[in-house]
Amino acid sequence: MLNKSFKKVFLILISASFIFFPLFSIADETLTVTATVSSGSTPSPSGGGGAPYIPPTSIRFSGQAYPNGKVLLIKNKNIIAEVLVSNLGDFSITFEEPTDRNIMYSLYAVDSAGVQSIILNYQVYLSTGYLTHLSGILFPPTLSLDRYSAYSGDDLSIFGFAIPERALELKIEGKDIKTFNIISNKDGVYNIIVPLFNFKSGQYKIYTKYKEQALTSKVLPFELLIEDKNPEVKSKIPGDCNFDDRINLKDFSILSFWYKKKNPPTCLDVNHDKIINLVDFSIFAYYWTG
Amino acid sequence: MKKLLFTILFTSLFFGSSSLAYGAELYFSSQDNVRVGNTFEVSVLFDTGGESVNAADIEISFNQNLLTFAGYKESEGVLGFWIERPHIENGKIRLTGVIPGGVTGSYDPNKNGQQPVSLAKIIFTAKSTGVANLYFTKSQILKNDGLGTELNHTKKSKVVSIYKKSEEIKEYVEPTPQVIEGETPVGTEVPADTESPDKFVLEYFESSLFLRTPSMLTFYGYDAGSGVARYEMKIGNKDWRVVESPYNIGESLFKRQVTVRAYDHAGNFKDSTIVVPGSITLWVIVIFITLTLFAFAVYEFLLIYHRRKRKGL
Repeated sequence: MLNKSFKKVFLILISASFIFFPLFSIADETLTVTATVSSGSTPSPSGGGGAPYIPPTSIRFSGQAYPNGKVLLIKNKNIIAEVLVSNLGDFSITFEEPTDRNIMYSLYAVDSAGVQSIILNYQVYLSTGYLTHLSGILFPPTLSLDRYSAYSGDDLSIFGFAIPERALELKIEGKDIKTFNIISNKDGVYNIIVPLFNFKSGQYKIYTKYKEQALTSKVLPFELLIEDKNPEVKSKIPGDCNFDDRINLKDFSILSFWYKKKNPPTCLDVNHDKIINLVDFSIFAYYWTG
Repeated sequence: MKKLLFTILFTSLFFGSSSLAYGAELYFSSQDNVRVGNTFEVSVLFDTGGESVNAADIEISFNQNLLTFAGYKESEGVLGFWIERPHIENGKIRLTGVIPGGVTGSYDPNKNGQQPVSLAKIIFTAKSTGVANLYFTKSQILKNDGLGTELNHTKKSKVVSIYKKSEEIKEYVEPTPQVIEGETPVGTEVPADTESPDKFVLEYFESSLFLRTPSMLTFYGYDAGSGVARYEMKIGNKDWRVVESPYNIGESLFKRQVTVRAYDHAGNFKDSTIVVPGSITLWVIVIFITLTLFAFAVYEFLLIYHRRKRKGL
């Protein structure tokens, strides 16, 4: 009897856990946001009756990127600050803000080989006279391939930058799904050569991430060709019709021109539904390089 | 026992799957009470439920007899890349934009965890007394997943009571004015926008790279105070006309001076000018004149030669 009651309670608890908690953990970033009264500037001496001194309002972002790379801070589509990353991968970037409201900032990192990270966006509430510090930012690794199409039997070299000596997970997804566990070296470099002889021909996507983090690198497309087929001249970014390996304001303008127009150029219509709509813009925004 | 087990499992799966979308909600945040003549802000907030989102298409309905759309705070929303900036269309406010890289929430040092993200901040002016309803008639929000997957979400409307200038606002206790989440405190009017839009760049894209896309002029103005309301363009000495970016500038034989004027919702404006190259360049003109002169010289030479030949000289 006791056993039955225990089972019932156990089952109800399990059900409740499904109801009240999501099935998957979605946020694993350990970001911390703090606000402290700004220091560093001293109040200017003033005679009695002057306006009270208000310390400067500022924002600081800190975390880890790629050793000896750089991190750039963007506001209103303009780069407002740029810092170098230490050889351990740490960075800290501070910007004095003239306004004190809810502001959207974007950050991206560039590794020492010039490869750009994904864009990280943070909308932050600022208070007058406070230094708001967003710490614990972690850029996912950068990712590069030595080629975007190959034949079975070839080798594919996959490489990039990460924090030094950190465990990474690299995935190749398509008709086959393969996961590789790798560790970056002391300079933050990782490199893996994947023999392709046991892969089925077709389209694949390749990405990497830190083992303990959900946020992934850019997703790169890769095609494994059948022996008698020549590789097509294709951009590695969907919608990059001018093959400059970038998705930026220029591509955005061209896409905007075709917005809601029928029969757009095939290369712009990234989901192939013969119309440019919000879905195409969303895919563009995902692959945005700036 | 089997029946109980089935019921529990069914309930778990049903509610469990719906709990994944729990938290994804679109709603408004603003003061509840305003006075006639007041200009006030309404934030369009989105609780992403932890999902990264990168595109939104939203339509807002409101009582046009009570409220006037007075613009938007460009700096206080994440939708900076407008496909359709906030504007009135068929009596409703329409806004469509993207967030390159996506966003999951906002950060406030006074609160734990991520907070709902402010997609846009709309400005209204109260024009007569009554109870104004704000609600979403359309909302499409897409995940930042490289596929444009739609994120299911719930929507909440908002009621704003509008009182006469002299009327006492009921159930309203005068609090110590304080700013909460960047909102304007109750009863405080949004200051008038007296600043012109920021300086903006006019860019010319020739059509050669994209054969089916014509030569275009692009311009993306920015106005922190009340947002860009419209653009007007003047080509050479022609009249001003309302245009949108990107603008199909077409081809011309000669270069043209083009001025674009960005107006904000308060009527302030900023100009930007560019010279668009024509198909005929200076070199083409020089070569054409040289060839014409050469042809003329040859013709004269032949004419003289034949005259002399006829005269038997």
